[in-house]
Amino acid sequence: MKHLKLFILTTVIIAGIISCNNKEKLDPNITGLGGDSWVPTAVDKWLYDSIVKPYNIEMKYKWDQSEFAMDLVLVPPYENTVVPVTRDIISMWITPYNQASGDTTFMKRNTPKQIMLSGSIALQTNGNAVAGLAEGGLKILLFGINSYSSKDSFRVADMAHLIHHEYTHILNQKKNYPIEFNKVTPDGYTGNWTVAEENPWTLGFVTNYARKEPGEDIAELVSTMLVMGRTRYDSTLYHPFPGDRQAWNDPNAIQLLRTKEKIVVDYFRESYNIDFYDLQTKVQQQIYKTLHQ
Amino acid sequence: MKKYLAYTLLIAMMAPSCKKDLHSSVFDESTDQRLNAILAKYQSTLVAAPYGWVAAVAPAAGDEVYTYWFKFNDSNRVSSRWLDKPAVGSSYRLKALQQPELIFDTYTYLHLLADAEGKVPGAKTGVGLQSDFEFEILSGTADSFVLKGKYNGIDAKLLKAAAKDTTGNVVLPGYPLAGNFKYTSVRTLYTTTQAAGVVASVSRTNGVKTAPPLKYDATVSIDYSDLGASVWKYYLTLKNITDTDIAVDINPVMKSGIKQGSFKILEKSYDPVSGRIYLKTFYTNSAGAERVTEETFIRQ
Repeated sequence: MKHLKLFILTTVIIAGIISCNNKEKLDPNITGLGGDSWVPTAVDKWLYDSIVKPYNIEMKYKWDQSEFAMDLVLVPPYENTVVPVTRDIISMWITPYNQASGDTTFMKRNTPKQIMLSGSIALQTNGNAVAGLAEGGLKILLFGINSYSSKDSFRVADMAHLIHHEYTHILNQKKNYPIEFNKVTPDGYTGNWTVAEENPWTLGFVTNYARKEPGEDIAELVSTMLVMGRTRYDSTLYHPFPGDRQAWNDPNAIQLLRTKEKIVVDYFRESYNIDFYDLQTKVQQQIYKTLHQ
Repeated sequence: MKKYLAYTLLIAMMAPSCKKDLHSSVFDESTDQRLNAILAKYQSTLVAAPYGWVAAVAPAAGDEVYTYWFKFNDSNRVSSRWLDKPAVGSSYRLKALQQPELIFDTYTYLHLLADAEGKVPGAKTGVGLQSDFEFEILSGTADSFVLKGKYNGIDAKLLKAAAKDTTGNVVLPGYPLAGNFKYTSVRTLYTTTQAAGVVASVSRTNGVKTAPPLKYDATVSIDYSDLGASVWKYYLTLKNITDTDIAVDINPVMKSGIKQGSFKILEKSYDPVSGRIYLKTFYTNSAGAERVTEETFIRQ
């Protein structure tokens, strides 16, 4: 009897296994699964060694419309601009953060995971050109890299400004900046920033774009302070626009910008344990190196 | 009667119910297998053309057709030529989206048309020439590919190139008049009518003009006398290089800039041996004054 039970049980289990073995054949060769692929070139190898492997950032330069808003008219980059742009971005953005935070851990943790490149600038229907965008803490879009040159100090400073601006958005998207920042110049924000004629420094802003909204304000402030350097920023604070003497030494404007500066410095220390002034120095050294490489 | 109907229905329902494989496709292979096969076929066809391909690209803006030469290899590289400019390398890939696609995924001459920074004459800032560099492949054979631009829906095609296409100016077949011409032009401006005979001034110019192919069959455009800067153009149509009967018209910009319907061809000739075109035309300007233009083009 015991044997019979065992026999039946075994039969049932075996039957069960066999009946489960009725496999449908899956087709593993699904087109496009796993993303686009192509035969890697020297550019791809360089990117892999320089930014993918150390920081897990995908520098995406081959055309993919799905990465961009459909209403923008864009073209892909020239292949020969990809390495210079990436090299200078690493030099002026990643390296200073590595130095200021002590090692590469901070950037490994806090960089966006993808930088998407466009050859042309993003001209919007209202006539404004967008040089960069940051999305959801994960992705930065850089436009207009076809006209980039390491020898053009304006373009280099613009690129440094752009990447630090977008990266400030990423940092803000990961950890919010203090709400007090929004309350420093609440009346200064305007939708008409593109046509605003006032000197923004006299109102407590470093650029017209900063007047768009507090999120852009802090990104502009951080990138302006980093790219100008402390000495030049401090002197600009007292003498913004050399031709505009009326704007000089405006105690109210200086007070507003100093208040914002303190919030920024505190935010970098408390949220990310980074000495902002030290970072500022390192960025300056790296911009100098980039221009004199 | 009803009984028979019921039995028939029952049998009719049972017969197909025995068929197990209801979900199978009408095709032997899966969608992905067929897609992969067609992409592989297109890829090998593109690569196989020994002298590459001559491409005709017709952006949405304007009426010109731009001609390129492409040579594809099997590691996603494409060599491009345009006009008499040197060959440059860039990348391409075939991708399955809603349709099999051919994407020129890094910058080359082709992207100048689409560039919103305005890189070619007539391209508007922010818009370019409303051109494409991502194409749906509508059909592809060893001799030609028919492509449709993905975003602006432009027409493009690839024609198998010959050995002569690999150097020099890139030439689109079917447009015997496309190319550069040496020209001399005399435009006589009368104060009122030609009959009254009082000449206000005479504009004489000479130099080199380029006649690009247009979207219309066998038709090229070339600047009208000294008024190229105003985008006034002749349309010249010639089907075969040996024909002598050349058709002449003017472009819509010029038509709207003169007294309506006043354009007349007084004399025209084309000599297929020397490649010389002679045109004598007439129009009345919007102020009512008459102009007579004599222009000679010699094929370079």
